[in-house]
Amino acid sequence: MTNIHNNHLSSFSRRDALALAGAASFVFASAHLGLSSAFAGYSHRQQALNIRLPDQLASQNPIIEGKLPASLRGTYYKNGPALRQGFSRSYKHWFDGDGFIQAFRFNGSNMQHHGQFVHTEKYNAENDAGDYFFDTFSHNWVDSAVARSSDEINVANTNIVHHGDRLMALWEAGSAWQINQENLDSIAKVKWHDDLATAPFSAHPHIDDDGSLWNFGQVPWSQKMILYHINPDGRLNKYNLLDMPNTSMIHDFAITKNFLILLLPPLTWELDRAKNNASFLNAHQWHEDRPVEILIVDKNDLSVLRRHHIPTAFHFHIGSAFEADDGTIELDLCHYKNADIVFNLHLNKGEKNLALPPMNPHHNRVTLSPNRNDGKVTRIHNYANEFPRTASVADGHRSQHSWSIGIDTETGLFRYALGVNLETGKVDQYDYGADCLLEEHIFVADNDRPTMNGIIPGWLIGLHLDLLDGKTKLAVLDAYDLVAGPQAMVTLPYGLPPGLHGNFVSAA
Amino acid sequence: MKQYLRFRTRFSFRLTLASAALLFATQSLSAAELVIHITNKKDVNGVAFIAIIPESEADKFPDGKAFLTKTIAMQSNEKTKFIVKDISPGTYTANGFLDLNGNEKLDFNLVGAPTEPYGFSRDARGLFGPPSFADAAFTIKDDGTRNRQTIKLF
Repeated sequence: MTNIHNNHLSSFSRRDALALAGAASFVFASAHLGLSSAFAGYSHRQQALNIRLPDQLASQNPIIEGKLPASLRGTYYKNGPALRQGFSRSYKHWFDGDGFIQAFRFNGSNMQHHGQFVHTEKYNAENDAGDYFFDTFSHNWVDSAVARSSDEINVANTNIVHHGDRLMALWEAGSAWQINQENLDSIAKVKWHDDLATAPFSAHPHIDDDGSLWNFGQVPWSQKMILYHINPDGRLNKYNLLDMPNTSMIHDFAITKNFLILLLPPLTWELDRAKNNASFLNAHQWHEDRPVEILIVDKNDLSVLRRHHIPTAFHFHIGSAFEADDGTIELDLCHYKNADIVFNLHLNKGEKNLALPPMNPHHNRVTLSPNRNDGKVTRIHNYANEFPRTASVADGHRSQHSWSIGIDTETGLFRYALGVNLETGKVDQYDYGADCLLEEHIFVADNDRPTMNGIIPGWLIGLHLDLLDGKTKLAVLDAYDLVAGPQAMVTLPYGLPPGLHGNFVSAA
Repeated sequence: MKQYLRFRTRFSFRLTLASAALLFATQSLSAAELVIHITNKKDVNGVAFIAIIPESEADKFPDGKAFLTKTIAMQSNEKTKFIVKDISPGTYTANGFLDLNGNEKLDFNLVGAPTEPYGFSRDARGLFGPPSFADAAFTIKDDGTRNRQTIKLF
């Protein structure tokens, strides 16, 4: 399996393959004109993110190399922004596109793939109009009308989570969309309570030991945050409204045995900017001089117990979190020096500030003592990585292992699958090669093998776009021996734009 | 029954045309006529509550004493209209909401966003709240111009 990718590393065979495949001319040009690798890398991402998709896609018999594990049974659901075929307008930023849901269904020997856009109100209205016209995360059209509600521009494009027998496509500023688990049709928006209709329900909810789900939603214009606790059966248990002056951009949070932990980076939404027709993204301002505020919330009544401050930084994702018996909280996260990254995830090179230094995250640990209001930040390892995941069924526990995707620091593209021992900082890595563009990789437990010494056996599965043949591929790796390379590789008959988050639902 | 209803509709429509023509012909009006079109843009049935608010109440907008209110049962995606006769020349707004649960008011969620379909004349929209009176305002003239406004509920 490994050989397939190592072949790509030889420049001779790479050029041959390019010529034979008639691959996109700019890739060819950049290889021959000796453009900098960073520029070539950027072109790769630009090429990938500009793939346009029809409403639905399906493949019954994709090519499988190697052998899919017999005990890998269930569905990997995945969500991500995608551009639409047939529309002439385009978007500027990775996070703008409409949510495209995919299901990779494994039966122990084969895999089937199908995908469909979420039919949100926005999707249907633009479908009728024949092109994009609503404002999005990063972009306001010149002639666009002000959105009448956040759900009018809800793209449901960030995550897909199964809970309480509901499959939910999640965005950050609007309602969850319930998706049919079999055919991926959009069923309806989830209304947890009359008071919570159309209220924001974020894209990284966390599931607890008892099967209940915790989440937050931010309402910048009313400077509030809603906290949700949903019962295991999918019905609302309780909610609370927190005052949130200086509302910051928050993508993820963490849970521990007794607490919810909210890290607020100093990237704040400014009403004045929004009133001057700034897009949602551009209404945000980075405050270099302000620390990260951390709220420790009591799970019992959803009130703020205490606040910590750590030095200024930005993050999207928290990997794992737990609390020790003495109340000390530890969490790991992918930490950026500042928020430049979020302003530079553009689809087109004219939009990107190429003068910026690489915006690589560091995998850090934050330790919060209950007796102090600061926190300690330490580096876990020196690889640049993102999209951290753990093996735990429920969140809020100490994890020995964390999986993520590693960044080629020359090109800024995701190239490596990474397994990190959080206790020792040791990294196990598989290099897909410079011509592969990785997406999130997730741990899937092998339910046929018992947990030994706290180690849950399983695989790491994840997608990548092979830029040489333009196809999206799914690799299955031994989660504890990534360096050995994929056990199986499934090649879809099409290329898909890199998506965001997904989760595996085991077959009953 | 259906035919009868259709007949009645036609009949009343003719009557309206006739009376409008008559009024126009006499040139004696100090008041005009306004046709309000309402579009339910959603896949839900409800009762549309429509209010026409004069400029004198602009400082209380979108509340304030209405010149006229009207309720109309509407099916999903239905279009309807009604005629306001004898409206004095001046500046007004028209707005409405679709009551889905029979409580006769526009419902909001806990962060203050409407949770039932609503709309303002001129499709006016506010940023993080209702539009201003000026954004939704239209002028009624008595010079014989057709006064027509549309409220889209969605």
